[in-house]
Amino acid sequence: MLEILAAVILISAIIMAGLRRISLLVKGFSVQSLAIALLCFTFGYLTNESHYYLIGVLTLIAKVIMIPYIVNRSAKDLTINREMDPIINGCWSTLLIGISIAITYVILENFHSDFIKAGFVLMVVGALILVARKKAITQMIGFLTVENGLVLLEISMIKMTLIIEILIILEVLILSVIMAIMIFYINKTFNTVNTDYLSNLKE
Amino acid sequence: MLINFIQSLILVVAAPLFIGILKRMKAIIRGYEGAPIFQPYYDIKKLLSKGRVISKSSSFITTIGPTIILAAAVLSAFLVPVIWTTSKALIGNIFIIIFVMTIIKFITTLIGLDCASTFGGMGSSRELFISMFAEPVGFLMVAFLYFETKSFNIYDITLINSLSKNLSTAHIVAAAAFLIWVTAENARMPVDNPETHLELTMIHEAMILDISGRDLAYIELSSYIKLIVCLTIFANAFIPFGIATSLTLIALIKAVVLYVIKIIVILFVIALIETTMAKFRLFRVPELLAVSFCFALTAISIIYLN
Repeated sequence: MLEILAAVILISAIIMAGLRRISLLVKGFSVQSLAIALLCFTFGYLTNESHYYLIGVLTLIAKVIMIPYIVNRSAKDLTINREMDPIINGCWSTLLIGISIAITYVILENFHSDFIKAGFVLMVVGALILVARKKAITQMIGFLTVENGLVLLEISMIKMTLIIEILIILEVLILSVIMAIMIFYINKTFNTVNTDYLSNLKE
Repeated sequence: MLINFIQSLILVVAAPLFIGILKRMKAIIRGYEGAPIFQPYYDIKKLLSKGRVISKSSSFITTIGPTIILAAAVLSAFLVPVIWTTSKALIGNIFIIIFVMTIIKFITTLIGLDCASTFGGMGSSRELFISMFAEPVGFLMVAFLYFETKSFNIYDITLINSLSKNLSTAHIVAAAAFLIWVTAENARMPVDNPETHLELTMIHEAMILDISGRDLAYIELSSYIKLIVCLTIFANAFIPFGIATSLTLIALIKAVVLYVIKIIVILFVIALIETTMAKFRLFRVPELLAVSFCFALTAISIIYLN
C-alpha cells in the first residue's frame, strides 16, 4: 500500500510538470494531496499513534477540498486559462525535471526511506514549476507543491509536535486565499495575470 | 521444448480473438451492440480469397514486404513466454525481441514510401518521427529490467519477478512508462487512431493504403500479433504472479486462467482510453513520450541508487 501511494505521488508530480491548462494542474495537485492524506492514515494505522490521523484529516480538508475550490473560483474570471508561452516549454520542461530527479536521487543516496526522497523530489519539481512559468496562477500551484513536499518530508522523518503541523497547514490555507485575492486585483488592473506586465508599474 | 512451441502457437492463433474482444468492449462502452467476437477471423478469411492489385510504379518491396512482416511477427511470438517459464532458456533475449519488432516497422515504412503516393510518404515520415522518441524509452525499459533482475533473458526475468514477494515503487512507475511505450509502438490512442478513415490523420494506416487482398490479411494479422506480444511482455515482466514453473496440470490451468484475465483487464483499460480521449496533435506526441522517458529515468534512479 505504501509503495502504491509513493508511486502515485511521483507520477502526479511528473505529469504536472508538463501540463499547461490550469484546471488540469489543479486536478493533479488534488490527486497528490489525496495520496499524502491516505499516506498519513496508513502511517497512523501502522504505528498506532493518533497524531497522524489528525494531520491526515487536516490535509484532506485543506488541500483536497478547500484549495482547489479557491483556485478554481479565482481562475474562472480569466479569459485565457492556459499558460501560453512558458519560459521553459514543452518537452524540455519534462526532460529537465527528469534530470533533476536523477540528480536528487544521487544526492540523497544514503537515506533509505522512500518518502524522504519523494518529499525532496516534490520540492524540486515545485520549484521548477514556480520558476519556469509566467502566469501568477501557475506559479501559485508550484508554490503549493513545494509545501506539499515539505509536509511529506517531515511526516516521514521524525515525530514533530502537533502545533507545528497545524501551523504549516494553516499557513498554506491563508497564503492561498491571499494569493487568490491578489490575482483578482492583478486581473482587474492589467486584464491579464501575465507577470511580464507587472514591471509597468515602475514608471 | 514442446511446451514452448505449443504456448506460442496458442498466442498466434488466439491473437485475433483478443482483438475481437477489444472491439466488442469498445462498442459496448459506446452504446451499441458491435460485431461478434470472432469477426477478425472472418475478415482475414475474406481478405485471403480476394485478388491483389499492385501498381506498376512500385518495386519488389511491395511484392515481398508483407510476407516478411508476417514472418517477423510470428517469429517474435515464438520468443516470449506465455504461460510457462523456466530458468535456463535457450531463446528469449530482450534485445532480439525488440529488434525483430523493429524489422516490422522498417519494412512497413519502406512499403509506405514505395508506392509513390503522397499519403504513403507522409505516413512513413510521421511513423519514424514518433519512433525516434519512442526508441530510448524501450531501451531504458530493458535497462530497468536488467537492474532489477540481473538478466537479459525474458524467461529468467519472468521467473525472478514471479518469485519476489514485495512490490517496489520503481516497479509501478516503470509499468506506467511501459504502457505509454506500448501505445506509441502499436499505433493506439492517444498517438494514432486505429479506426480513422481520414488520410490526413493517419499514421500507421497511411503506409498500407495501397495494399489489398492477401497482403492486407498478412499485415492485419501481424499487427494483431504484435499488440498481443507487447501485452504479453508487459504481463510477464511486471505482473507475473501465477505463472507456471513446472509442467503439472494444475499449475498450467491456473496460469492460463490468470493470463486470460490479465490480458482482458489491460485490453479494458485500452478500450476506456480509446473511447474517452481524443488523438493528440502530431507535435504534441513528443511531450507524451517525454513524460514516459521521465518515468523510466525515475524508475532507474530509484532502483540503481538504492
